[in-house]
Amino acid sequence: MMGRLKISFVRLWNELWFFRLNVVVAIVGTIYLLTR
Amino acid sequence: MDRRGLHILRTVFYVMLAWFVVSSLGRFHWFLVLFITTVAISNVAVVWMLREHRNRLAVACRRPVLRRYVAGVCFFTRDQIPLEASSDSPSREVRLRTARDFANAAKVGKQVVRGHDSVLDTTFSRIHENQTLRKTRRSRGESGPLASFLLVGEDGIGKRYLMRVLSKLLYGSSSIEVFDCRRITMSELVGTRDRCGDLLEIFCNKPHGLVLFEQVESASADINNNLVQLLTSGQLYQPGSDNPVSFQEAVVVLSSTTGAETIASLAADRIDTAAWHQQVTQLLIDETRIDASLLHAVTEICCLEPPSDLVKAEVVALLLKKECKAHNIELSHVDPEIVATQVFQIENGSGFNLVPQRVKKLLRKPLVAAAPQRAESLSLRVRTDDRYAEAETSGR
Repeated sequence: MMGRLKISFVRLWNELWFFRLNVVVAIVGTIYLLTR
Repeated sequence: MDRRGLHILRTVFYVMLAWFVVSSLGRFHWFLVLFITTVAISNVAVVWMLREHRNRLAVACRRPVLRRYVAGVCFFTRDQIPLEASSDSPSREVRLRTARDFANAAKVGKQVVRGHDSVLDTTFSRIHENQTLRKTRRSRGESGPLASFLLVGEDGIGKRYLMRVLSKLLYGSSSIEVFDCRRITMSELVGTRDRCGDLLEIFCNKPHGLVLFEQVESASADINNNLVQLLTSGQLYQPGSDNPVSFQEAVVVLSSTTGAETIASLAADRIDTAAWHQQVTQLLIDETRIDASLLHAVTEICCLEPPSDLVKAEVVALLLKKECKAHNIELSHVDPEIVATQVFQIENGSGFNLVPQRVKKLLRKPLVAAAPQRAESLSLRVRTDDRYAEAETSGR
């Protein structure tokens, strides 16, 4: 299960700039909100 | 720099960009950061579902707001909007649902297109049958397009116009995608590893529509294989991609100009539909270069018979009326000799292709003569003093 999730995440990360950008924005945004 | 290094560099750039955006927004209000983070998380979720749980997303797309949002995400990811795989709800874009809708559409179609009544009846009834079968099918899976037809008929007989009318009645838009199999290449059809093909790109953005492949007998082996895959599975892939572009809501039409005479000879003694279909398939396999698997994959083979003189006259009269209507003048009378002259000019080789231009030329002088009088109606009569038939106006 985890292996499959990882494979599909890596594939999406490598293929789509839109996915990369949104993942980064989501993580950075969450960190900003938690640390403020 | 190797590929891995490039990825890391790109990620660092994204992180910096994201931090800059988030901290700039945070200076105004923390709520803006919350908003952009929520949007980013939901975008990630939608992209994930687009690739992993397409059917569930398609069900969620029933709500118009969500559908618009998913369409926006699909625009960035260059994916097709997920089409609903559940069997009980026909697509909203397909306007015809009930048997009555289809019967009415066929009736309207017959008023617009002359001489192809049986083809209109057949196409609409096959589409309705396929729609009914989809409702009763458990899962859509590899069910092929909404319907597929092979139109066999001479040049200029009105195949393209017929399909435009079909598209207008079925999808509400008369724009159809036309590909000539003599010229089309694989890169134009499905694309290459780097570039998406024209056909896939069009149906990625607009999955509901009619696509017409002309001169299918001249298609290369590669194109044939792709067409067979399209007709049987209703999906096509860009080379090197795992994401299919679905044609399940599309109508695929193939057209051929060869073999029309052979089928016409059979059409006279058409008794049993199944037997006739088998005979036609065998004849086309024997006498044309159309791939046998293509012939077996299409829903129906339709033969467009050459128009009779009466049908030609009806078409000429319709075009005369249409041209006059475009100039806000009603056509009140046409001498039969004028129509007959036009009918005799219709050759078997080019069919109706040149008729609209001829009609425009014929009406030019009468319309110019009627313009200063601001005439509401126009009658075309033969001049008796002249040796040749000529049009004359009488504006009222």
